[in-house]
Amino acid sequence: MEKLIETNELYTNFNTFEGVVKALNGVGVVVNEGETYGLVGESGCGKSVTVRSMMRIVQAPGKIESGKVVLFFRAEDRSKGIDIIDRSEAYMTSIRGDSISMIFQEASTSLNPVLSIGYQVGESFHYHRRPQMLKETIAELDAEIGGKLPPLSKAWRSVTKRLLARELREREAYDARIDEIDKELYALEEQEGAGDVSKKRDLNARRDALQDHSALTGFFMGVPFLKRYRKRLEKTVHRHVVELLRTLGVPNPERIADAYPHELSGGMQQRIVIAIALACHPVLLIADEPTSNLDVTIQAQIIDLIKRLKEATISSVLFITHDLGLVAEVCDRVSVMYAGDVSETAAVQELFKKPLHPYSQGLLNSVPKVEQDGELATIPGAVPNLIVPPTGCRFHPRCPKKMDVCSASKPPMIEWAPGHWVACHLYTDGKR
Amino acid sequence: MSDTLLDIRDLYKYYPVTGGVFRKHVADVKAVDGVNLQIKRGECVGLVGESGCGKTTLGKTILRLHESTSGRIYFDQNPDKIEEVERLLAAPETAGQAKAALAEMDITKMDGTRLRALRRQMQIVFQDPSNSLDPRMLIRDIIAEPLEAQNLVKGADVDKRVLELLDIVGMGTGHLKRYPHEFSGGQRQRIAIARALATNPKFVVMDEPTSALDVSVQAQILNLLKKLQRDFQLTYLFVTHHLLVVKYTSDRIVVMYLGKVVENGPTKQIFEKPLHPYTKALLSAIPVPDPTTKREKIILTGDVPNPVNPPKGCRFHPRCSYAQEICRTQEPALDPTGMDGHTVACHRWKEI
Repeated sequence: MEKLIETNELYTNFNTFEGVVKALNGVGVVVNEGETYGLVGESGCGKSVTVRSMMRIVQAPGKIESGKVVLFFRAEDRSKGIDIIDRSEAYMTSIRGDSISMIFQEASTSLNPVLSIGYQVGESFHYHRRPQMLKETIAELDAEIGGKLPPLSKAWRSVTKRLLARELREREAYDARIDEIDKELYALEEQEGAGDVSKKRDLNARRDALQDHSALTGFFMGVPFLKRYRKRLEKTVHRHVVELLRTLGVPNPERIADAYPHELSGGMQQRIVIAIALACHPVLLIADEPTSNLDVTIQAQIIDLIKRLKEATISSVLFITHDLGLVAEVCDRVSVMYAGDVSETAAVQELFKKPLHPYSQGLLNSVPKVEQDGELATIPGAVPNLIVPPTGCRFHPRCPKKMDVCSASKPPMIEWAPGHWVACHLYTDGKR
Repeated sequence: MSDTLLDIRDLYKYYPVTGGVFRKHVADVKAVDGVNLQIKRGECVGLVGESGCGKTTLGKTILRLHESTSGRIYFDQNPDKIEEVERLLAAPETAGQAKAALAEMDITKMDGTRLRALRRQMQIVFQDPSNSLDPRMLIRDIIAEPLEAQNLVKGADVDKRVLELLDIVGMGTGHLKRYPHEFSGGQRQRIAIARALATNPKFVVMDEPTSALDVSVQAQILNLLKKLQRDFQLTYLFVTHHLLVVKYTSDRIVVMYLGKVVENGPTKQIFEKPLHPYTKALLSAIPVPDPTTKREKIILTGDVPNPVNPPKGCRFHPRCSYAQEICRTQEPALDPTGMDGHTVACHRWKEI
C-alpha cells in the first residue's frame, strides 16, 4: 500500500502559565492510501493535537516544536513527499478543506450560528472550486444570452458574463503562478542545500503575497449595485450545495440549505459538517470523534454514512475516537496513544487479539464487553500531568510490568511482528 | 419489610412551553408521560434511552428535585397500604379519602419535614463531577454538608466520618483541605459518590456517573459502585445511555423512548432476546469492541421526534420498520410477556 501522509518525530508543546505542556512526544503516524486508520486513547493523550498538528491548526498557546508532516498526495511526490511544516500559510489554506478535510467533535460548535447552512457548505466551493463554478456560470449565461430575452436583461447578462469571465481569467493566471512557485519550491527541497533557506522563505512570502484578483475586479466585487453580478455565481454554488446534501441523504435539502444550525438536530448538524468536509472530494478525511456527542442510533447512522462515503468518494479516513467498539467496527489499522506517545500500532484484528503493550492490554480489558463476567480489569492511577511527564516510558508509573529501564529511557518503536509495531521495553531486546 | 423499595404509579412530568406577550401556556414538553415502575430492594435497575427521552427527568422527579405533574411515588412503604390507597384513588367517589394517606406516603405530595427526613435515604450522583461539586468548597465541607444538614453527626465526629467516607470510596487521607479543581475527573466522581453515601442512603440515583470519564477510569468507578452496592445493600437506579455499562451493572433494564417505558425486563433476557423493535435497534447499534464479529445492524431512519408533539399511537412508529395501521392509531400498553418480570409495550411483539 502507498503512503498518503506521514508524521515523523512530531513534538508539539503548549506554553501555558503553569508551564510547558509537552502534548506530543515524538509521534509517528502513517496513513496509507485506501485505509481507515484509527487513533485511540483516553482524553488528553494527544489524539486531537496530532491531527491538528497534521493540518497545522494547533490552537493558540500550542506550537509545533519539531518534526515532519509529509504528504504524498500527488504521483510525482511519491518518492519524497512534501513536508508541510515549513510551507507557507497560503499553501496550507489551499490544502485544508480541499485534499485534507476534517470533521470536528462537536457539530454544534463547529458550525457558525449566524450563517445559513447553504452559505457554510458553499464556502468550500467558493474557496477551492472557484474556476469550476465560474466556468459553469458563464456557460449557463452563454446559453441564456443565445436564447430569447428582453434586450435589457440580455444586456445585464452580458455584463455579468464579462465580469465573471474577467474574474476567471485572473484566477487562472493566479493558479498558474502558484503552480510555478510550488515547482520551484519543490526543486529547492530536492537539492537540500544549506544556503537556500532564505530563498525558500522568499518564495513562500511571494506566494502569500499573490492576489487572486486585480484591484479593478476587487472594486467591482465591492461596489453595492455592481456586485450583484456575483448573484449568478452564488446561484451555481447553491445548486451544488443542494446536490451534495442530497447525496448525503439529507431529507429536504432545499429547505435545509436555507436553515440555520440551531434549527437542526445533532445528527443532522453532524451530517452538515460532513457535507462541508466532503464538498471538494478530499483525499484524506480526518474525523475527530465525529459521534461522541450523539446517541447510539444516530451514531450508527453517521458511521454508516462515513463508511459508504469512504467506499464511494474519499480515499482514506483518519478516525479518532476513545470508543474501542467503534474502532473495532470501522478501522483497518489502529494506533493506541498514551500521554503523547504512540504505544502500539497494528491491524485492528491483531490488536484486539494480541495486544502487546501493557497499556493496550489494560485499555482493552477495562471496557465492558457483551459477554462480561466478573469484575472489570482496571488500570490503576490516572493520566499523568504532561507539564512534568514521567521520565522514560510515560506509562511506567501505571504499568503492571514495570522494569528499571522503563523510567530511564524512552522505548523505541519496533516492529515486533510484520505490521505490528510496539514501543515498550518488554520487546526491545527481541525477547518476551 | 416488603420486597419493593420504590413504587412509581402513573408518573407524569410535563414542562410547560410558554409563548406570546403574556407568557401564555401554549404546549407541554412531555418528558415523562405515564411511567409505572417498581424497584426491588437491593436491585440495580438500568434506565436506558436516547438523549431527550426523559430518563434523567424521571430520576430527578423520583427524588423530587423536579415537581411532578401528576402521579404517585411510594418509597419504602407497606405494599398492602399502597394497594389500599390505589384502590381508593381508582374510584372517583372515594378518591377524597385517600388524600390524607397520600400526604404521608407519596413523595410527590409530602410536606417539607417528612421529605427532609426521607432525603436521608435517597441520594443522587450527577453526571459531570466538575459541575456537581462546588468549586469554592473544601472537600471536607462538601462531604460534611449532608451530614450537617441532616444533623447526623456533630463536632469532631464530622471529620472522622468524612475520612471514613473517603476511605470507603478508595481515596486516601490528606484530601480534606483541598478544592475540587485539584482532583482528576475520576477522583471528583469518587468525592461525589462519598457525598451521596454520607447519610447512609438506601436508594441512590446514578445519573450517567461515568459518561464524563475515560475508559480506564470508568472501569474503576463501575467496580467501586458494584462493591458499594454489595457492602451497603444499596438500591440503584442507573441512568445511562451506554448499554454495555448497564449490562455490566444492572439486574434489570428499563428502556425508555419519548417519555414512555417501552420495555422492562431482566438484563439477560433483554440482551438475549429483546422484544421491542426499538430495543432491538438500540442493541444492534452498540459498537462491540471485537473486530471479528460482524453483526447485522438495524439502522433507524430519522431522529427522535419532538416530545412537545409526540407521534400518535405508538410513539416509535415513524421509525419502526414493522409499523402497521394499529401502531399509528392505538397506543400500546405495557404487556407482560409471560417471562418473569419482562414487559413490553408493542402491538406486534409476538410476531416479530
